[in-house]
Amino acid sequence: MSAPTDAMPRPTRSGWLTPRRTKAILKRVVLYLLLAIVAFFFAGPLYILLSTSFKTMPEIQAGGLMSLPHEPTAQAWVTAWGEACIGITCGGLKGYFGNSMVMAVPAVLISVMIGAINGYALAKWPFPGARFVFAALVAGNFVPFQVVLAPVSVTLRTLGLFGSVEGLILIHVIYGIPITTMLFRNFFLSVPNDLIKAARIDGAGFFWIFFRIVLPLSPSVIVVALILQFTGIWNDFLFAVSFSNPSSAPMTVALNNLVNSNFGVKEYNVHMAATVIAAAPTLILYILLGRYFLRGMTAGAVKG
Amino acid sequence: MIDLRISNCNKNYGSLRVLKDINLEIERGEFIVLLGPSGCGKSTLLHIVAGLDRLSAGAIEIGGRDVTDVEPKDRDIAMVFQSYALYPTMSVRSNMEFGLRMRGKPMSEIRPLVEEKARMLHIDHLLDRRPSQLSGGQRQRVAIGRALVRDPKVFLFDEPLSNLDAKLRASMRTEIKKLHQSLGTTAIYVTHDQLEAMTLATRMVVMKAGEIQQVGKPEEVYHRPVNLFVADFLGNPGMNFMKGHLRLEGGRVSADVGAATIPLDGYAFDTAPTDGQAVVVGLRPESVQPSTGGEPFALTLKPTLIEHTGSDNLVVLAMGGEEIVGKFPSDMLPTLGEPVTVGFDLSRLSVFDAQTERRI
Repeated sequence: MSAPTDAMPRPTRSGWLTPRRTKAILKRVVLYLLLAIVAFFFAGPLYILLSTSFKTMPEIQAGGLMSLPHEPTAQAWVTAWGEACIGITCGGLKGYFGNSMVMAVPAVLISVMIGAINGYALAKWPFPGARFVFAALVAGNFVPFQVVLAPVSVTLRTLGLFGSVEGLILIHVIYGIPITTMLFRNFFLSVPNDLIKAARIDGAGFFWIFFRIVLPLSPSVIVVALILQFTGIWNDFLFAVSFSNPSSAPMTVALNNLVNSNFGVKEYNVHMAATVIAAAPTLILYILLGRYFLRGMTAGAVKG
Repeated sequence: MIDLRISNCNKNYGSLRVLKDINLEIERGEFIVLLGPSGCGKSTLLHIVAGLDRLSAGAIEIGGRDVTDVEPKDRDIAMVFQSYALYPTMSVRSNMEFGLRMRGKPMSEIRPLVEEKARMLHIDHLLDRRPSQLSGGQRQRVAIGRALVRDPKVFLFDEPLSNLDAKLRASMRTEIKKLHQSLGTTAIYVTHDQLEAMTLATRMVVMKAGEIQQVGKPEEVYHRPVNLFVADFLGNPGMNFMKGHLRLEGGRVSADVGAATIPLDGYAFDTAPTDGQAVVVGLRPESVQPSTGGEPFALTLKPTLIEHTGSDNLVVLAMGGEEIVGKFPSDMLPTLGEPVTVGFDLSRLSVFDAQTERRI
């Protein structure tokens, strides 16, 4: 049994607010103030986006950007999803959302898979010229997209994929490989070589070791790659606007066409709802997998 | 019957020659320990035998079959790593099963085999755990178990005990020895720990800078080192070295080491000694003992330092300008500065040529 803490000598009242403590408290206050400002900076637009999307047009026109909707209505969401006019068709965003999904999901999966296999080969199966290949891939990360627009356009036309979702998938896969390869390669470097050797002696080959030993060690880096790739591909506008046609256009293009339409009244509530719909998949993905994302970003910093 | 033959094995990394013309024949059932300081190429040699590294020139034969260009999995070997190299995401059971499953053995055969070996290694209660839930010693047992279930022609051990603490290392050493005695499988064991080498090996191979220095039974290598390097590398505390010259007088050979003249009448020379030849005379500390009066050769020397190790007293003695160490029984405690008479066990002498550093 330990003595009751009340019996312990306490610091006297006068000694409580020492200069050191005052300084520490001040530091805290400044810290929280800064955090609050930053939080407001990022959350503010989201708040306006959401509150405006539930308002009616008359309420918006009456002003009061920061106020909550008086009579919340989901009408703008319904319009944005299924009725809004984009270009000459008035079917809402749903078709384009589908385009984006059909484009992003395979493009993400394929580029992450290829990146993982590439990274594994580069990190664990050194072959002559591996360093050169890796250097070339790293350089690939720094090629600005604008530079390749014309050659890609010619290539897609030659392949007969111009204006199709498949064409966009192909481009996104190719431009995703450098970053995913680099990500996986750097992660796999931390996988002990002895594991690979032990598995080789046990009789496992290149792909067995990859799927049975290496990949199960890598959920965090897989999540990082998935989030990075999905966010990048879903949000891409340049490739989308350059290589799609009205029937294959993804969300980003459709959103732009909707918001930048010059006809009629600007329906801000619809625009806001459309924007949230466009941003939702990446947000949801991050909320679901964010934990792993943070873990993956710091993995390897400290040895387990 | 020869289980493993290494012929003219060379390994170069660019211009760096890591292994130079290694030749070694290993009989079935031998426990070969490769011993040497770090960077001597012993691990590289093991990896080449395993097939994990390619050799630059030469050939490897296992069980009479040339496996120089054969993949590790087809060499009929199993390896235990210093880092254990257990598959972290698999249970102990899966770790042990992995190699057999890769070989397409039916689960009905694998299960009893794994359980039998697990019992043998006292890890049967750990089969459903993950490697991360085990202690270092348990992990090493699992690693050994994983190699055992494969029932290979040759076991390869790459410093398997270096990551364990001293006490555990000693008990695992004993177990590996027992295991080898009961299984009789050929084994190659790499270590830089001479105690492991001395206790485990049926034959040991001392390496330095990519070359084999000496191959032989542990006691032979210990008592009859072929050169100064081997003499110096083995033994703790190290061998005493006394520099001097040979004297041939009237058919009798002796070594003048300055402070004394050591008779070499009983010494079996490998090469004929010449008068005036510069030599290094080596004698291990345990052959320098307090005199009981009956030795053919004794000196009276002054102790300058005494180290108690518990089982012995290591006594540093001034001899001319140099110092030699004697290993005294723990109940024999000389007084510092007071001369003691020590007897030299001349049958344990080693004499090396000072120039070539080879045993003569």
